[in-house]
Amino acid sequence: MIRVRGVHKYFGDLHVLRGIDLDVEKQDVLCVIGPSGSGKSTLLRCINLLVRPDAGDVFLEDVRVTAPEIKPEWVRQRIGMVFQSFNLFTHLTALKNVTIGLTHVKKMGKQEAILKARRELERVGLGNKLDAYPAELSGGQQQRVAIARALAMDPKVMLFDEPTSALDPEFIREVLDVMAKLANEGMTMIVVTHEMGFAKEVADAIVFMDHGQVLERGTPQEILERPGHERTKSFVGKILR
Amino acid sequence: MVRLEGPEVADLTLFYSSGFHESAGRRSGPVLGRGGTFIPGRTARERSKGVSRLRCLPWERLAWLGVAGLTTYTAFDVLIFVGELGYYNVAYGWSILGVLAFGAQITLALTATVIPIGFAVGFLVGWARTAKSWFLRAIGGTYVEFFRGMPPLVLIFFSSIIVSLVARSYFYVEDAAPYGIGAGALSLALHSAAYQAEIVRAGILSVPAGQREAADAVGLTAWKTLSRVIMPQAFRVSLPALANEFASEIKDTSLLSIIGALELSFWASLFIRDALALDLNLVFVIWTEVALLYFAITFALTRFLRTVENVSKVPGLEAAQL
Amino acid sequence: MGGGGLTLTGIARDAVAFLRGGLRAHWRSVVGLVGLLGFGALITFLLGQVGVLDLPFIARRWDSLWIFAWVGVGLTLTSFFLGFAFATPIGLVRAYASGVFTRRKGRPAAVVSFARARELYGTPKAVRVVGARVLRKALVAPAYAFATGYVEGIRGTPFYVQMWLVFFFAILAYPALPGWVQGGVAGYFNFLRYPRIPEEFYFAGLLALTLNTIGYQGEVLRAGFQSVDQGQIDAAKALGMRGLRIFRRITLPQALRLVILPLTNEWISLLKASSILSAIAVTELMFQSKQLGVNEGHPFEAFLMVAGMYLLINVTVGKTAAYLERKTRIPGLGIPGTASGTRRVRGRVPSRGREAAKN
Repeated sequence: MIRVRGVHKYFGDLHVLRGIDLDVEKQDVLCVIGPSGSGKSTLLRCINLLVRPDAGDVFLEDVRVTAPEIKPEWVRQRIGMVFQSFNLFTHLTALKNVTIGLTHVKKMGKQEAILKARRELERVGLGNKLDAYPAELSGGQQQRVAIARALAMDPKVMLFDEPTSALDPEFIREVLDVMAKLANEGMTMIVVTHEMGFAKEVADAIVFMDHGQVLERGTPQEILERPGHERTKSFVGKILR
Repeated sequence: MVRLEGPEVADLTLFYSSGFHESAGRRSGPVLGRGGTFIPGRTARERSKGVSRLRCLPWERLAWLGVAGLTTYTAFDVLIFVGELGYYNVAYGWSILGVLAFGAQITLALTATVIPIGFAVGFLVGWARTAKSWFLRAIGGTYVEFFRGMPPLVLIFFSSIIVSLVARSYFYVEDAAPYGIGAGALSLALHSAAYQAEIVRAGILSVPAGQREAADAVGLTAWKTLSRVIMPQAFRVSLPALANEFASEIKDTSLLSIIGALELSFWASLFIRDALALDLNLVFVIWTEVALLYFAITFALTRFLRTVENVSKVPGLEAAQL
Repeated sequence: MGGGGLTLTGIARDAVAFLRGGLRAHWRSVVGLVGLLGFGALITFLLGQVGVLDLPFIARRWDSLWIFAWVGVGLTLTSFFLGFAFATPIGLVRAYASGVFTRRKGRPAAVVSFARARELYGTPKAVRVVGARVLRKALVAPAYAFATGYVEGIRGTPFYVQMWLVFFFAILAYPALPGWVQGGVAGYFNFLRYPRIPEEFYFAGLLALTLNTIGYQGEVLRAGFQSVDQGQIDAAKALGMRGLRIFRRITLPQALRLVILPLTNEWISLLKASSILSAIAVTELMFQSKQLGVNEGHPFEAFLMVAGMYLLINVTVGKTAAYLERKTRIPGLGIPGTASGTRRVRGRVPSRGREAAKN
């Protein structure tokens, strides 16, 4: 479904991504782990073209999305993204946050959009919070609205950039439950996370990144219990208590 | 349990043994000396390396002097060239520069009077606004509301004529003009003090409450807490906003021309009136020179304040939320 | 009584609630007001008895102040809204075109990348693409330079100097303006029932105020546009929205609400600047106070009257501004550095929302 081939990215002099090769099959859940600054977020943003790779290619279902003819909007309609800092539109209610993409990007009719938005919000368990503004919601609720917003666009792939890192501990569970439910329903997901419990239970594969390179890839059991690479071993040793 | 592995521990020891952290704020650049505000005296690093005192002086700043000189020279050349094209009357510009410079001096003198008084009063009022006593807070609040709401011109004008009147009638002073201008300057200072009080107050409030508690726990008296814990932090945090306010004060001194101070704006208005009768281009000349002079004064002041900021910088202390 | 947007029904509802709340809800502010007024009245009365203040003079001439206050407020309002119209493009240019003069490392200039464009698109399209880039830069760069020069020039020089410049220029240029312009200006000031002085003076004052406020409002608007959270713009892009749509739906609604507080501050500054217009014989409040104080020989009383009038205006404007800001506020949103910008809401249940805390 998603193929990344030899992607490089520089920010000024900083070589953030040094030749990434990645494959994600349909309905796979891939967790990306690694220390801060290893380029995980940048990798995600290269996939939905929020950041343009300096070299290399990204393929979505055999379409080379890094080609100059492809408009980024086309890609982003098919790939959904959930951010670490939620990034909800603070001047819109939860319902309007979800419908704005539908009416303005997918050009849906207003009533149709509201129906769909309501369904998605109920799917993440916030059916009673349609008219709440983001500031009136807890962190976990805000993140779930963000997930609903991305889901409403019917993406083929969902990207999660450290979705629970900005949450108070009491709200992490509810967001992870929604993501697990999504995975069970067969969504293809790439999740950058520090939640190893989630990775162990839900992921089909884990990728370890450090200093802009993919150092190791394997099943959760392999990576978390029997890591091969030296750096993987030291990182996993620090993360798992 | 997070274990500090071997490499991390070794790095820290090496780091601190190098003495690098001591030179925070006064660090060496690759070629051009330390950078930042020059503080006399060698850093620990320079001393340990055995660099001579003479070499540690900021010689590279002379390069900037050279650049400034070159720029001025070029600017003059360009100006004269444009003047020969007929757009910029250099002769006229030169003739009025003397008077405008004199006016600028008067402006500087007035600013030098107004700013310290304004800061002193503003500091006291701002402090009063954060006092425990309701009475002090009420007085501070009234002061700020009153002086912020009044146009500075009204304050200047009326204080000036009332003081002149009193000086003439009751004290039989011959020439009451200096008293009038003094009163005007004082009211300008009081007007600005209201804004500065708000800034100081925000600075004091931005110091976390925990600092006061910690000082209490250590056993410091209220006065010592204020002077040694709260105020240093509050002061550093409110410096940028205060610098902004001082720059506004410089512009407000122009109002003193209305009550007769012979400062920059006064001469500017005179020249503009005469120039328009002659030729429109001359107005542009006056405008550029006046603007440059005001920019020069403002720039000097903000530069000075930035130096103060740099010298008293503490990492982690950000500007106050007003 | 927060948020909810600004609607006529909302305002009506708030007015009713305020009146119905009556004494029980507002007793504190009533006591404060009465106390302050009483205190002031007492001082004035005492001073009057002692002979320092001429109370009958105040009683006689207080009414004459209203029309002159109206001149000041009217000029301020007109120049404020005119200035807003012109400050919007300036704010936009300064907010979004600041990149024209910066060269980022690793990002080649338009000309250098022509070779790369040629290998990507083929020559004809490359010419179009690079040509468009160069054209955009050529148009935007001077606009940005002008906007920055204008804003820095206005903000760096005193209004007094700007006023004289505009005044002399306007006086000379006004007769040269086309007849319909002069007629329009005269008609406007007649419509507002301003005292009859030659329109040039009002025109000059209005022009000076407008040019000044364009500079300051331009800066406020720029800050407003740039204060909108970059993360939300990222999220909008991730949804597939494009630049203009993002601006219209995400940036603009939030920026407009963000700037209400700074703009009301700017309005009050403008009102204070309008007092300086008295120096060019515009008959507003300060001018009249000079009349009363110097020509009619009652400086103390004149000062008290004028101070009272200005305080009245400021309190009214302040309360209205606070009300407006409260009604249009988005919780947790604010320009960093202003009061509304320090509210932390993210990830925590806000204390004001009892309903939110119930879950």
